Amino acid sequence: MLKKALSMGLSEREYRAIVDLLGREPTDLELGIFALNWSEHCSYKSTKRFLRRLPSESERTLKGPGAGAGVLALDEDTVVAFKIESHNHPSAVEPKHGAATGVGGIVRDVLSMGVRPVALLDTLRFGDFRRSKKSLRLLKGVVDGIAWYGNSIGVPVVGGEVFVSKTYEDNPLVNVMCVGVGERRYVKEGVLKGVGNSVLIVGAPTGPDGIMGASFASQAFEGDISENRPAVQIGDPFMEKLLIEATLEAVKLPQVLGLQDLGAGGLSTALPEMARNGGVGVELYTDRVPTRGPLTPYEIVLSESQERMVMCVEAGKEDEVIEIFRRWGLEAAVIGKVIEEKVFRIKDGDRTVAEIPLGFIFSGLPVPEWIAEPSPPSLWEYLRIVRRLVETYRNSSGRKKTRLGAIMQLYGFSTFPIGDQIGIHWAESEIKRESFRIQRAVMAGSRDEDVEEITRLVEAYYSFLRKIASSKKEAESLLKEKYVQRAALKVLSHPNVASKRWIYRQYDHMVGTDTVVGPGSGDAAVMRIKGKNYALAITVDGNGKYLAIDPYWGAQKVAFETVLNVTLSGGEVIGFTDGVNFPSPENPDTYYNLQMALKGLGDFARFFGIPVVSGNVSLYNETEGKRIFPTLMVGAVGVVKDVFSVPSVGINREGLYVYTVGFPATSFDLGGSEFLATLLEEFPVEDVDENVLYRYYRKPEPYNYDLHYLRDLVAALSEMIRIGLIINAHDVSEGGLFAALSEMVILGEGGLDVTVEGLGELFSETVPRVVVTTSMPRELEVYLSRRNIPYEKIGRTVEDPVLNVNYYAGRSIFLLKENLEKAYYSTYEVDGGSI
Amino acid sequence: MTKPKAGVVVFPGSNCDRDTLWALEKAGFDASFVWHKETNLSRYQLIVLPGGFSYGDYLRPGALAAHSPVVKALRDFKGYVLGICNGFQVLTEAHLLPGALTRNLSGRFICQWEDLVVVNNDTPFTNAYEKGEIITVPIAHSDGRFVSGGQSFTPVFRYLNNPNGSEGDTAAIVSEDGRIMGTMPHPERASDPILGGTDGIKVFMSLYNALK
Repeated sequence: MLKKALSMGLSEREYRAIVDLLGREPTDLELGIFALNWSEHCSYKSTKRFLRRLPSESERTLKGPGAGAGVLALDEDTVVAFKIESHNHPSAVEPKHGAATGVGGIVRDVLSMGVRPVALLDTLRFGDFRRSKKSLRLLKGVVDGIAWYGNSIGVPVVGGEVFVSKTYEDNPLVNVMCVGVGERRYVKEGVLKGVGNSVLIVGAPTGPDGIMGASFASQAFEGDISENRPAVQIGDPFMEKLLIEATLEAVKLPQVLGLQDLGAGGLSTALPEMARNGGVGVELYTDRVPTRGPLTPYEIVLSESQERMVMCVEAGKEDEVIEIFRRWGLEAAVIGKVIEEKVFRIKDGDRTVAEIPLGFIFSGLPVPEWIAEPSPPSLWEYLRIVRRLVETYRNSSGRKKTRLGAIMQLYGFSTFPIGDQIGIHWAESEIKRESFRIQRAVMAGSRDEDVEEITRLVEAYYSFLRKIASSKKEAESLLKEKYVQRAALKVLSHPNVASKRWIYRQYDHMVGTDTVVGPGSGDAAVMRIKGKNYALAITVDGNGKYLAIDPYWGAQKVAFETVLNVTLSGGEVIGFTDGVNFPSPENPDTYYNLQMALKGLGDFARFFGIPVVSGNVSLYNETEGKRIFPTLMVGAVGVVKDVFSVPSVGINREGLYVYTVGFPATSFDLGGSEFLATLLEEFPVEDVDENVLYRYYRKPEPYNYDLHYLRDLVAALSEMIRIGLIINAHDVSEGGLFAALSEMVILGEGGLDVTVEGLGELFSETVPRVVVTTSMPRELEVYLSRRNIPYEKIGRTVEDPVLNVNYYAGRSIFLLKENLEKAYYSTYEVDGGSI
Repeated sequence: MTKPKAGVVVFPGSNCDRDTLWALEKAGFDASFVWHKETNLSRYQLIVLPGGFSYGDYLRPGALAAHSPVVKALRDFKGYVLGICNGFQVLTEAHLLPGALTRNLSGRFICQWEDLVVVNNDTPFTNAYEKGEIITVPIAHSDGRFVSGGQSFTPVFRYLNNPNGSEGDTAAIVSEDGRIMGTMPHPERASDPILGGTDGIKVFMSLYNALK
């Protein structure tokens, strides 16, 4: 039995707890029920203590975490519900169906609140598909799955993001956020209530699919992952579409008391949860569950068959509900009863096949005690990273050597050990100390090759360090127009920056006729609500590389970016949903990162007064020790009071004044930028784990992320948009200012002529900045000066569709819109040209 | 004056039914939904088959819907019939319009705005347009490549930049008697300035003109 428990993903400690609680050996079915309810995926056992500290209350909050989706009031009668959810493990094994059922699951979560799903956003992570065939196959499969399912159910995919990194090569991430809008009076919750009332299953018949899927999703990959195919569910979007329409009819009936999606764990988790929420117990009759072919009670209870929901309906009034589902061609059957005794009892005919007191499921789980410990930066590790750089540098000559030296210099500025004079002194003394240690080791007679190599390295790096602060020749070489232009276009065409048109063109992003700003045209999607004078701004953002630099700061940066996106779309954020995708919490540094990331998000949300009303956690995203970036995704929903005031990204008028708002960025702020990554490609450093590589990048100066400052910045931008002072607006994110300016040219008819100071300002991604244009420069400057918000006038808009950037003492890059478009649009055309 | 009556068919799997109803009402129609099992269409002057995935598009897009009670009833219906996207596919499957809609050349779903040229404004569906007028209307389909299979057909809209490989750049056609139109582009999605354009609503306004 213990062996079986372990194979189901339970730990030995958990198995012992089950035997203790029951006072006997569990049956197979009972063991399965425990395994699913106690899986990381369903129980949040590793993260609950941190999630609990996220703020979830606001004046608008109607339903917070724990419900199928968070629900916020929009006005007296109208609500918005939303949540983000991952489907990573299934998508790694079976990209199309894994992603498709991910869409289905989150749509039902929102539907279970009694509202109509109106928008989807997808946030995807892969290895670099330009270099990895496997990642390309995953990208194509996942996009195909989302398109197939989303298009068929008629819910538009209005936004999203894609990010590639080697860390996601074996563990792609597929997260989907769903937003629903509905009437407050029909809002439902996942609850069983009223002893004697009926439990109904509605939707598709139950089949033997996805048995133990949630438990599979709670483990790291080992060996051949295709063996896990049976744990992946197959979806049917047609069924889902019918389920949406039928459910939205049914929730209007007063006898429907509770509603919940059958997701991870199927009946085995939904029924106990609904019973607990109502303070009652539940009896399930497996022989009454409509099935596809003969199934055992074990299969019926543990199945994760898609497109099914559970309802609690007042006894005696079931027929009216059943009739609705039958009319839509769906199954509906009474499969259980609400009972007073707080147990989960399962009967197959007259035979009781499982009986578990609910308290055992919800309070009996031994909380795992993982150790949280940061990996402190070590000079040694840093030197190992730069070893290749130093060696390549030393082995080259002439112009190449100068260029490599320049890149190293920039890298040096961006990494903390030698980022400034203080850093250089620190590094020097550390190196000296290490040199002595090595010398002693050498004198003591231990002359292995490692010691020799490291000695050489320390000496080389030390001499390089001394040179770095004063070298002008090298800095100059990096500023050559030819090089900057080439690097800039490389940045623009990088998958993390380039247009995702190939993806969103495959998604129906207009169905519903509410999409005011769709994918690829604004900082956030804007959805109107027919009959209302306000609209919704929706965005999702998440960048693991910033969390790899620093989890607390990275989380705040991600959250702030969503706030900025919504603000620049004319909205005010009313709620967050968080998607936490991390490696195994059993790694002390991962557990530490998890804790710090959620603390960062919590502190940010509390300060801004934004409730985190829903979320999802996916852990164990690692394969044989290779870990993904600590990835926190934040979805934000905002209210846009005046849809016509939304500033556009594209430049359509000449003669406007162009400003950056926010503190300026310098060469010290290039850490983690795509620009620096592009330059480093000239060195053979690919074998360094990016989780380690990014640990050494500097964060921007703390005043950039002072929460008071960020709040003032948002308030100022918001007001300037409202009063019409801003005509175009775009935030600076992946690809830096250069990418932002390029997009403003690509998405409009006009062009830009700007002057900036150096490469840091042009390519930094970490300093919070916004590009705006105005026809009233004096007013804008006065407005910002009064509020102590830094700004810089950088240029003008021009009639011709060109981008001209003077970046250093008379040097400039000049690009036609066609050049920009070619770089921007071609990366994702992975079908071999567009039609 | 009473408003002309339009019925928007709801198949299981239709997903532009509510969008189309909204555009029809905006254009002045008294519009309501018609369940796919309905056989009495006598109260309507216009029936619209909306976009979506009728019956899950099993077999072929529109193939099952072509045999539904409501489409069978269309054979005796004397009013105007408009098929949008999946509705167009249903009409060709039911042989109420010539030709067929086959897989896009790219093999992929395409959702984007397309420039169209109005090649025929002498129909009840297009009388509000100028002949030769260039309009912009979104498409959203996987199977929109029109092929005539040698049957004669009357194009109404043509693509300027053929997105799917349609024969003769055909985006929309009308039946010989001018009573039935099928269009792959979605006019209901270009019916409000806030959505980026209003070129599509003239299809509904044309029908309103023809019926008032």
